[in-house]
Amino acid sequence: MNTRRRPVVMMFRMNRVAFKVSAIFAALIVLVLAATAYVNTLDDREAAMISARNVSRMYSRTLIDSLDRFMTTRDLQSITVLVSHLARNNPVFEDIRLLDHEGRAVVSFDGPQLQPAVRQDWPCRDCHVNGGDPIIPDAEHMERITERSDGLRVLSLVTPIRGREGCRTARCHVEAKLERPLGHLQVDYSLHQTDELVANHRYKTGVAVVLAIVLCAFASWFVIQRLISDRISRLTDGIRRVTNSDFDFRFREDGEDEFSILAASFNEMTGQLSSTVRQLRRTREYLEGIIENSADLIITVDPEGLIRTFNAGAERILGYKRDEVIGERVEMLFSDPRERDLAIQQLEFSDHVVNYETHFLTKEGRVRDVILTLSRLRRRDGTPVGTYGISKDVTREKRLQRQLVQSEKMAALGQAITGIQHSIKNLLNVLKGGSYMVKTGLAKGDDLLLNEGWEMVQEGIDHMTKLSSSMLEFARERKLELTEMDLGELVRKVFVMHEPRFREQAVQLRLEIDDGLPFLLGDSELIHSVLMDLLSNALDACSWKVYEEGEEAAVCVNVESEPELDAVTIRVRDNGEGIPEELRAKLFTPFFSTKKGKGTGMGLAVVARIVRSHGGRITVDSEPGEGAEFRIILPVRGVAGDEEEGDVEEGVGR
Amino acid sequence: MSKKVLVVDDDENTVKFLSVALREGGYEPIGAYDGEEGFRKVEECRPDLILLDVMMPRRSGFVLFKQLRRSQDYKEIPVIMLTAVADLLEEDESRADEDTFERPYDSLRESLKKTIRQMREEGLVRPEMFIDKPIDPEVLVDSVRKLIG
Repeated sequence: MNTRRRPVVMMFRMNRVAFKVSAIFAALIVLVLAATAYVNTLDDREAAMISARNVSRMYSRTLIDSLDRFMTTRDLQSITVLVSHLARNNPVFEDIRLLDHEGRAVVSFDGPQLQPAVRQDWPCRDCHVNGGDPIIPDAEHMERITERSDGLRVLSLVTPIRGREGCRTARCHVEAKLERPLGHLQVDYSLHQTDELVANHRYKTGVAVVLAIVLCAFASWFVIQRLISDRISRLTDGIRRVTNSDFDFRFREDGEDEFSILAASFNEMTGQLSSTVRQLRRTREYLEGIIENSADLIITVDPEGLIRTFNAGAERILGYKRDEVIGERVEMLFSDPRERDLAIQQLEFSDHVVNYETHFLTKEGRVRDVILTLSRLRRRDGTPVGTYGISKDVTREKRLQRQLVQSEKMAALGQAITGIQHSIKNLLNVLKGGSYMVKTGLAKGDDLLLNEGWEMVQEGIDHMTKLSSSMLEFARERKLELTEMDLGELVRKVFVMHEPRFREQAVQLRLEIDDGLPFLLGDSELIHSVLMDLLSNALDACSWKVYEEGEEAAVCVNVESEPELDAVTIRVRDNGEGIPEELRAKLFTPFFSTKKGKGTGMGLAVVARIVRSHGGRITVDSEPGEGAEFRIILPVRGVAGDEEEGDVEEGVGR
Repeated sequence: MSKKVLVVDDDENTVKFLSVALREGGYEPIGAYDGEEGFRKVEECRPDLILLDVMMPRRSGFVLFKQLRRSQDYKEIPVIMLTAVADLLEEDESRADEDTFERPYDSLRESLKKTIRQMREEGLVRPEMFIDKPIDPEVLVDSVRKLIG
C-alpha cells in the first residue's frame, strides 16, 4: 500500500538518481550535439560560400565572354539590354557594373555613373597599392562581402577584363596591351539564397539536435529507471520490510549483475538475521516462560523504583493486572513501604537479600505474607539497572503455622483441663466419702466415725489447697537465681535427706558421682526440687511394682560430666513399674497424674520447665515392668551458654 | 451371716468410707490396698462381691480381674469396677475423632478399651458393673444390693 505508492511519488523527485543521471547524460549530449552541429553548420556555410563563389565566378566569366562581342563593337545599348535582362530574370544579381579602366561605371542597374573610382577604395586598392601604379595581379577576381543595412549579404566580385587580340579591333582599345586589364566587371551577387539555405539547414540541425536530446534524455531516464532506480527502490522496499521484521522476505536473484549480487548478499544477510532473530526470540520466550509460569511473584524494578516486570504469579496473588502497575512505584505493593526501604538498605551491603519476610498489599487491600528474595540487576560493566524480586506467598503457611500454634495451645489447654478434671474427680471422691462419714457419724452419734469423716474432708481440702497453690506457682514466673554450684554436693544433700524414706520402703538408693564434676551455673534451689521430685517418682514407681523373689527395688542417681557437650548429665534410674509407652509422651503435661489423690500432676511439668529454663533437656526411657530412667542434660554455662537457642524461658514456677 | 464385700483401692480414704457405707448396708467389708493384696484377700476370705479400682500399684485392677475370671474358683464372684470405663464400652468409635484436642487420659482409655476387648475375645465375661468416681456411697451400696441381695 504505502510502500508501493511511495516510489511512484519519488519517481518525479529532483533528487532521484534517475533524474540526476538523466540530467547529466542530457547535458553531455547537448554539449556533444551542439558542438557537432556548430562545426557542421560552419562547414555548411563554408561549402555554400565556396559554391556561391564558384557559381558567381562562373557567371562573371560567362558574362564577360558573352559581352565580348558587344564590347568589341562598343555596343553599349546591347550590353545594357542584356544586363537588364539578366537582372530581371535572375534575382541572384543585385547589380552588374561594367567599369572602364578609370573605374567609371559604363553600365550598371542604375545607369552609367561617370564618376571615376577612387584608387584608395576597394577594389582599386587591391592592385593600386598605396594609390600608385597597379601591380598586375595574378588574381583573376577580387571579391568582397558586404552586408547591407537590410541584412542582405552581397558578394561583390570584380573580374578584370584583360586585353586580347580582338580588343584592338575596337575603337576604344586600339592600343590596348595584351593581358592588361582594360576594364572590370563588377557583379554584386545576392547571398540571400545561400544564407537562407544555410539558415534553413541550421534550423533543421537545431531541431534535430533538440529532438535527439529529448529522445536521448528520455531513453537514458528510461534505461536508468529500469536498470537502477526500480531495483534500488525494490531493494529499499525489501530493506523496509526486513526492518519491519518480515524476515521471510527474499529478493529475486535474476541475472548476474551487481544488483543481483547485492540482492544475493542481502538475502544471505536476511537469512542470517532471521535465524539470529528467531534464536533470540526463542531464548526470550524461554526466559519469559520461566518468569511467566513461575507460581511465585516475580517483579523487576528500575533504579527509580518503578515496576518494569510483573508476572502472572504476581497478577494472580496480588490481583493487579500488569498494565495497572507497570510504571508505578513499587512501594504501592508493600503494606508498609518502610519494609521495602529496609530491604533496599540491606541491598546496599550485598547484591542479594535472601528470604526477607515482608507483607504485600493486594488490589483489594488484603495483606499477604511473603518471603522476598531481592537481587540487584547489573549490566556486564556493573552499572545497576534495577532490582529483581522473587516473592513466595506464604500467607497460607503462616496461617497454618498460627493455627498450629493455636491448636497446640488448645491441646495443651485441653490436656490441662482434663488433668484438672481428673484431680477434681479424685478430690470430690474423698470429699463425698468424708461427708458421708460425717453424716453417718452424726446420725448414729458415732463420734469416731464423725471425726474420721471430718479428717477425710480436711484432707481433701488440704489437697485441693495444695493443687491450687501448685497451679498458681506453675503459672507464676520466677526469675532464676543463678550461682556457681557444686552439683555433686547438691546431689549428696538430697541423698541424705531421702535415704531414710527409701530405707523405710525397702528400696535401695545408690549414688554414682563422677569425680571432677565442673561447677554448674544454675539455680540450686530449683535443681534441688527437680532432684527431689524425680526421687519421689522413682520411689513411687518401685512401690507400685511386685518384685520377684530375690529381686530388690533400687533407685540409682548417676551424675557425670559431658566435656564434649560442656554439660553435665543427671540420670535417675529405677527398676520399678516402668511407664507404658502411651503415657510417656504425656509425662511432662501439667495436671497429668496417675496417682489419684496423692499427686497434683504438676511435678514433672515443673521439672521439665526448670530444666528448660536452665537451657537443658529432659528425656525419659522406660521398659514397662522393668523400670525407667529420667535423664537431664544441663549445660555447664547455664542459660548464658545457651542463649543462642532463643527458646529459653527465663522465669519458672517452683 | 452377712455377705462379704472386698474393696480394693490404693486410696486409703476410699477404702475407709466405702467400708463404712457397706457396713451400714449390712455387709462385711474387707479392705485391700493394691492388686496383690486384693488377690490374697480373695483367697483368704472368698468375698461375695469385689469392688475393684483400676489404677493401682502392684497389679492393676484389670490384671486382678483377669486373674479372677480365669480361675475356676473365683470366676463367679461379681465385680464392680470403680472407673468410668463403662462409658468407653458404649462410646461410638467415630466420636473420638471429633474431639479437637487429645486428652492425656485418652491413651489410658485406649489401653482400657483394648483390655476389655481382649477379655471378650478370651471369653471372659465383663465386669458386672462400672461405677465412676466420685462415688456416692449410698448409690454404691444399692448397686451391691442389686447384685448380691
